[in-house]
Amino acid sequence: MNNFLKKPQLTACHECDALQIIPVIQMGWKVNCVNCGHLIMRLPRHGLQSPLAFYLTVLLLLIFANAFPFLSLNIEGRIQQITLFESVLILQQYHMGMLAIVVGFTLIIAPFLEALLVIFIVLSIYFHWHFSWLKKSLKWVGKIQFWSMLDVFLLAVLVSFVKLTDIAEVVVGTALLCFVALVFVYVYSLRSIDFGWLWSHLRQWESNNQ
Amino acid sequence: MESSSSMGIEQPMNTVKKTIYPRGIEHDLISCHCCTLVMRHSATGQFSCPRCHTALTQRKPNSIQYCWAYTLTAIIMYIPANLLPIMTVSYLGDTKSDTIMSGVIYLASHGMWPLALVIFIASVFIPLLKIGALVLLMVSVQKKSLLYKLQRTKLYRMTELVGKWSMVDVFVVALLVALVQFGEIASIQPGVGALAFSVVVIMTMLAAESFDARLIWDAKQ
Repeated sequence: MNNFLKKPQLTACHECDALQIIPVIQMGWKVNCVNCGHLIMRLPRHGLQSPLAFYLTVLLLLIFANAFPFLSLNIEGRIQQITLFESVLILQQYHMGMLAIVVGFTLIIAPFLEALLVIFIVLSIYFHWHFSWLKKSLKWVGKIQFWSMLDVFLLAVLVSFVKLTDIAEVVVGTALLCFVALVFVYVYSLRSIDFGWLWSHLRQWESNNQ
Repeated sequence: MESSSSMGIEQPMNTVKKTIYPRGIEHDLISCHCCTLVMRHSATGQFSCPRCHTALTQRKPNSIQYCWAYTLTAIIMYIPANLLPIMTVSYLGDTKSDTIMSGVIYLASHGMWPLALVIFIASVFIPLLKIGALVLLMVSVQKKSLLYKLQRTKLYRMTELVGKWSMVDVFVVALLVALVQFGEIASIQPGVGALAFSVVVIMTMLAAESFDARLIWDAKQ
């Protein structure tokens, strides 16, 4: 399998345009720009299996975090329970549709899309499926990843938790535990994927075909 | 005496600092924005990348104009984001509007210093820092400054990294609004300030994205 970078390849750093050659490196290594230190390429330690394993876990935890109640609040016997999606819907009820779109996209749509696309891309590279969608999804996945803000939301949960303990009893839901696990896995999964490296796989296919 | 001392100063400058690496723009090489494929520009005469079909340009097109537009929008929206309430809390008949700063002051006055600090850094300090950094970067690129290229690149990288963390306050509002729905006992409504603030964050993120750090290194004597 293409488990490491086979050929040295010419690159121009995306932050300073310095020309340099990425040497043949082993899995788990990374390459920084000689001029400005920009991270040019980082190979995951276990090849294509790393992003696959991480993102499958992310997908599973995402499903759990969205399916179960997230937090519940208990004021004098009255219980208010929400899931992640409901919190987006409630914003919309207050005529804050734009805000609902922002929150819904950064917390639900973008992470789901990212996980699904990465799994699709890695599987099709691994099994040599030549879908016409492959290049498009590889092109879009980085842009979607930019807008996914799961890690920020964890901090927001902590803050609102402390704010609410003053007024009422806060009960941690199943989904919140999944969410904490999700954020930790997600932060690691970001380190396990390198789009430049995935593109170099596609380049190898093309040179094989010619 | 004089020559030896100047030698002593110049030698490390030459060997360590003044290493000049060949750059793509000087060798007619263009790298794809999307898939980082490097190719010879004029020879192929192609307008899109043969591998991923992204439009080929030497630098991000109109980078500085886009960046200024986004940053100015962020600066304008920063005013309502801080003046208008981000949420309205009604608790046992009392109604109180919270702006970002009043939230920080409330937390600090109730002895929750670490939390107040987190919110202050994420919602007040980081957006200002980002806007300041972007303005500095754009002005220095437009003035074709030769100074501190490496440090400015690092500043840009930091701006990019830190960007999304300002969304904390918006998410806190979303969570509180959704959770505290107890009719007349207690309820929280979102305010326009939260929307304005999320626009500030998104605009600064877009500005950082549209800025091309290679422009810093393009300045020549």
